[in-house]
This record gives sequence, C-alpha cells and structure tokens, in this order.
Amino acid sequence: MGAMNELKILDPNGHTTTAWNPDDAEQVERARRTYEALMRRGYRAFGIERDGEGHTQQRFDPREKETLLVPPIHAG
Amino acid sequence: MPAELAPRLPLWRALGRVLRRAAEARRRIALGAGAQRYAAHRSHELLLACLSPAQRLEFERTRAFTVRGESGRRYRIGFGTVANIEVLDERGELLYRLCAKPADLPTPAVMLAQKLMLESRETEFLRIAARHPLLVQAPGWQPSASPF
Repeated sequence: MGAMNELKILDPNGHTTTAWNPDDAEQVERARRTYEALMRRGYRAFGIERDGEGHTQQRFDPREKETLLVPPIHAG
Repeated sequence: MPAELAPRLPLWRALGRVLRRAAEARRRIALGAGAQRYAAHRSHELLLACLSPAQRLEFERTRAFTVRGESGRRYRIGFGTVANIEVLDERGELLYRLCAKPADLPTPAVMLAQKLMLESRETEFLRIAARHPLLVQAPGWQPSASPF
C-alpha cells in the first residue's frame, strides 16, 4: 500500500483526519466528496509548505500530502 | 415497615435520586473536561507541526508568533481567541488588534486558522475581521473637552 495523504478538518475535537491512498480511485473519490462538501459550506483549504508557510488551495488535489480545512471565520 | 418511617420514605427516595443525578452530572463534567483537554492537546500538536522553525521558537518563548501577510504586513497572533491578533507597523510596534475566528474550535486551532488565513488569504481575512482600537493612551495624549 502506498503512503496515505490526509485531509485534516479543524473541529471542536482539535481536528478530524480523512486519509486516502492516492493510487486508490475509490478512496480518492471519497476524500474528494468530503472536501467538496465542506468547501460548499464555506470552508477554506490550505496546504503547508516545508518552511511552515500556508498556501491556499482552490480545488482538491489528491496528490497533496496534507490539506488543512478551516471552518468559515466570523468577526469576533 | 415501622409506621413512623412510612411517611419519610418518599423523602429518602427523593434524596437518593438527587445524589444519583449529582454523581451522573459529576461524571459527565469530568468526561467533558477530559475531552476538552484532549482536543486542546491535539490542536496544539497540529499548530506546532504547521509553524515555521522561527514561529515555533517564538511561540515556545512567548505563547505568540508572528506571521507575514501577502501584503508584507506583519501580525502577531497571541494565545487566545478574542482580539488576539496584533497588527504591527514596520518597527514592530502595535497599531491595533484584530478579531476573526471560526466558531467552536480549541484555542490552538483558532490560532492555526488565523495564521493560514493571514498568510494566504489576507484580504479576505481583513474584510471579515473586527478591528479593536488600542486601549493604551499614546504619550502626550490629551482628553478632548467633555461635551457634558
């Protein structure tokens, strides 16, 4: 089995992880559906560079090692 | 059952019910506190994993870390969830504070969300965030004449 890629969804438990094998079409499809459902609810997706800097993600990339999904923000 | 105890039985039953409910409430509170500690620990680990070495060092020293937006402006994110973002000028002096966050996340997860937004979706973040003026008076500041 190849290395697993992960969606980390920030939530009240800290985060919830959805992992998939990029070579498994069924797992990729399941992760894509989760990603797109959350994006429709206003979540924002980010990848993390090696130096720790975040970059924004516009669409699901099954090859991305780690994607962070952040719930919609509101003014405090 | 002795006749003199009969009228008291409902009282003992009621007391038993109260004690059982109190024990159940204590158990639920303990479970909730444990879950909150676990969530805070997990989000703290994730935050550390997503910080640059310099940010991690600063965070370990001061419980705050500095990020740079796409505009080049620097922000210091402090440990907290309310007005915890300091907007800095070129010399690193505090200009004002910002507050914007996702709902219902542990504090380190809020800080991580703020870091990611400021580093790569700065304009959107600034559009949403509430701006909190400084409460500290600048040197030489004079109160204006009272209207009353």
